[in-house]
Formats: sequence, C-alpha cells, structure tokens
Amino acid sequence: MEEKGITQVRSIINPEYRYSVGRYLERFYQGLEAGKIWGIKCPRCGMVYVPPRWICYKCYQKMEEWIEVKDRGVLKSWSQLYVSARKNPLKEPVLFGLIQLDGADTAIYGELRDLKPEQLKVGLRLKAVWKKERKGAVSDIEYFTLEEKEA
Amino acid sequence: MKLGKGQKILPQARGGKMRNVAVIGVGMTKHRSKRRDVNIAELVAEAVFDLFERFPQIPPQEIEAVCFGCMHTFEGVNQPELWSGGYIAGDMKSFLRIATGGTTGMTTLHGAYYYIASGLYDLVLAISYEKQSDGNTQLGLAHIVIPEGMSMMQFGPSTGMRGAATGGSTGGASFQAQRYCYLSGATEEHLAMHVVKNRRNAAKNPYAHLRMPDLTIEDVINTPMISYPLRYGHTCPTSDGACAMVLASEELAKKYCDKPAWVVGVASCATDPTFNPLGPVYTDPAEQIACKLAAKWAYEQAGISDPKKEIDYAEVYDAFAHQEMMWSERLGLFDEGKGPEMLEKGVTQMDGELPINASGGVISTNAIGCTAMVRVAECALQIMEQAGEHQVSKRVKNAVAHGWGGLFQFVSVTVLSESPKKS
Repeated sequence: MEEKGITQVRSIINPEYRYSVGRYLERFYQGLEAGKIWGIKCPRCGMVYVPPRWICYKCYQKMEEWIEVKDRGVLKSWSQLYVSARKNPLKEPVLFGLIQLDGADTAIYGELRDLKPEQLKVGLRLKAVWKKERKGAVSDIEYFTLEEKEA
Repeated sequence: MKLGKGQKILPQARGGKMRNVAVIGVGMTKHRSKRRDVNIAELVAEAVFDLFERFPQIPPQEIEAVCFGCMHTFEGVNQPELWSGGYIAGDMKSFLRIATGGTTGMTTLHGAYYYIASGLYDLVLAISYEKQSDGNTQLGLAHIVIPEGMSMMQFGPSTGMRGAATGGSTGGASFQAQRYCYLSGATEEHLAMHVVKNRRNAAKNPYAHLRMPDLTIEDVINTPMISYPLRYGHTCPTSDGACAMVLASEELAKKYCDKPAWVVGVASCATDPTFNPLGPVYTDPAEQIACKLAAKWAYEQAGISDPKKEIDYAEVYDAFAHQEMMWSERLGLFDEGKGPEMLEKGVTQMDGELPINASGGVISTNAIGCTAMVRVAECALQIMEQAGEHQVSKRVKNAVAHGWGGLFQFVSVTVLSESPKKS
C-alpha cells in the first residue's frame, strides 16, 4: 500500500546481453545438433566434464581430450515443480532431474517425462529422448525417461 | 578548494604495523574490440595463463587468495567467481569480489594489497576484466547513472538527463573537457597531440587495442564531433580484455622475483558528483579534489614529498583526450595549467623527462573493469624493466598509477617504487 505524500520515481531498465559461449561450448552445441554429447577429460585427474570446458577447476589444467559420452545415465537428485518462474501455479506439476550421463563425472539437468514421482529414486537408469528437429541447443534433448521402457 | 564550515582535510592513514607488499607478476590478454572466440571465463583465464607463462617462477598452486574485479552491470555478471573460479587457479581459495565503477581494477589491486599488508596472506592473485562485446556498455552505464540520478533527483531540481548525456559518457565528459581547456588554455591541437602520442605508443605495446604508428594530428581533428569539444578521435575504444597481477609479501617477493615493484602508497577518494544530470552539480568537473586528495595521501604513505622531482613515470586514466594533461596536473606532477605546455615540449613522451602512458593509455585501450589495474600493471612493468618495446628510456624508480570512475568524482591512486618502504 502506498503511503500518502511520499513520491516515488519509476526507473525502468531492460538489460540485453549476448554471451559468447567460447570454442568448447560451441563444439558441444554442434554435437547436440548431430545427436552426440561431447565431454572433455582432464589430462591430470581424469575427470570428464559434460558440458565441456577449457580448464579443469581442480587441477588448473588446460583440457583437450574430447570424449563422447552416452545419452543415458543415472538420476542423482530430482524435484517436482508446481509453480512457474513467474510465480503462477502450473496446470500440471513437472518433474525435473539431475542426471549423470554414462562416461561423465558431472551431471546435467533435464525434464523427466512418463514417470510418476513414486517411481523416482536416486540411481534410477534414464535415457535421453531427442527432438526430431534439432538446432544445436541444450533443448535438443527434449526430456529424459526410463531407460528400460524402450528396451 | 573551498572547504565547508568545520570541514577539514585528513592527514595520511596512520598505517600501523603494515607489511611491505610487492608486485611480482603481471599478465594480460591482447585487448581487442570483439573477442567472440572466448567466453568470459576463458578471456580471464588467458590473462592468468599469460602471467604464469611470463613469470614461470611463481607457482599457481601456492596462490592463497584471489581478489576479483569487474564492472557491475556491463555484462550483467555480478558473481564472476561462479564462472571463473577454476579458470584462474582460484578454486577452494579465499575469494573477494570488488566493484567500484571505473576504478574497479585498481580497487581490486588495493584489496590484494590489504590482504598481504595486514598479514592475512603472503601470495595473492588480483584479476580484473571487461568483455564489453558480450554486454551493453551504454546500458550498463545507464544502469549505474540512472538509479543514482533518480535517487538524487528527489533532493534537487531536474536539469534534463538527455540533453547532458548525448553520446553516452562522452556527453558528460565534454563539460569537463571544455572546463579544463578554459582553465589551462589547451586547444584542439593539444587534444589531438595527446591522442597521437598515446596511440603511437600503443603501437609498441602488443597488448594494446588501438595501435596506430602513423596517426597524425589532422587525422584526429578530422573525426566527427560527438559533444563539443570531444570528437570520436578524442575518446577511448570499448575493448574486451583482462589483467592479472600477483602480489607477495617481502619474503616471497624475494623468493620468486629478482626485481619486484613495491607498492608503497594506496588511496581512493570520492567527492560530490561533478556530473549529475538530474540534480545540482556541486563541484567543478575539472577541479578533481578527489584526485588531489588521493594523490596526497598515497604520496605521504610512500614518503614522497615532491612528486615533481621524485616520480619518474605515470600511468593515468585518459579515457578522453583532455584527461592526461588534467590528471598529470592534479596528481601534482606539473603545476596547474602546465599540462598542455609539457605535452608540446615532449616531456611526457616515451623518451621524455616524465613519460606518461607509454603503454598507450586508456585512449588506446579500455576494457573498463580492468583499465585501472592495467595502469598499476604498466607502472610495475616499467619498474621491473619488463615492459618490452615500450620500456621508457629513463630508469623508473618511483611511478604513480591513477584510476578514475564514479560520476566523474571517484579517484584511486597507487604509488610504486623499486625499493620497499623502510619501517
């Protein structure tokens, strides 16, 4: 509630930025377009980063060994979301998971579909479902679902 | 300067039992206008790798703490350590982020100085960067100026923002330029002469952005006007770049470096705004009391009583063509009003009696967040005799570095020396 007699001045600024992704992420995005997931391996500690990056944060080493990882992996953590980013209730709650792909030492986020919350547990095997028309973006992986369903 | 009733100028900081601190390593990226091939973290990493490659005796794993600076809002990156921690040998180390507008780079360096002088750490990395091609500098400036102006507007009358700020920061600086020309008698030729001197210097510095060995006074005067008296040729470029420096305690400085550059005086000062488009302008934009006071305190700490005689080299924040002359006077290197004459006589040339901005200065390279740190870095390189092709002919015993920012009224000063402070 506005208090009487106190003037406010509105100042609206709309920022717009264009972030360069760098050579490493560029190759990662190109890989996604071709249906491949690229990671990179540290020459010192052997850690495989997905998405790839230039420097190993543990060893302060430049990394150059590109490794293709699988589009399937295990669930590390998950949540069910009920409210949108704009704070509106969602029509249907959405499941999101933190997934470590086979061959990677890091995890990525992804939407989970065709799964019920009671099915979810840490360690569950999941596989990526790719979009039919890909454009070299993280959204080229449409969602993750149970690995055994397809088998 | 006119003091208010009861107002007084404070003496130097008491200092207490501060330890000696030295610069033992400097690294930079080559500054360019658009580095689309790297992301922000990779750009910063380039400067840090450059440092450890140029000064291989410094072990990255022994770095104990990191100070990190970038402009607020320019690229919208407010927690640079989230992006860059692992890219700068900074993972799992004590971390301090600093942002003070145009002087960010120097304040970041001061943060590293305090870390060591206080006895907390012995080996500290200071890093600053700006990647203006990823962000929107004018919007970033507006982001800083508009909220400040809006708040101030509630205390004073509006004089119209748009009219005063044409051409972004150049619009604001034009009032300072015109005022300085009035005070000193500097002409359009002097403004151009300064640009020619520094961009020719930049041609000898591989890290600089605008490197123009054949630039002439006519070339500068023939560029279009932005806000009288400032033309396109009178303003700094917008650069992408990063700078890294390693500071060490006396013991480690001697262990890792044959000829370190000692930090012997640090100070910053702010006064009331000299450019306030939405409220009253309190002070003369060319008077720069903040610069005079910061310099006075830094010289006192350094034990320098006559900067005219004792300072051998200066790097000043010449974002606009009148500023090198103006700052050199306000820093006490020349008498007031003598800037143009000294420039004419070649005193400030690379082989002059008091070389200024042998690196090419800000008029040649301006990755804003790191620009004020580059001033200190270049002074350190001159003392360490590591400046390469732009090493000045005279021996540099004492040097002064100057950073400028805020709403035209915030100044940082660092004094460096070839020998440590005597305790």
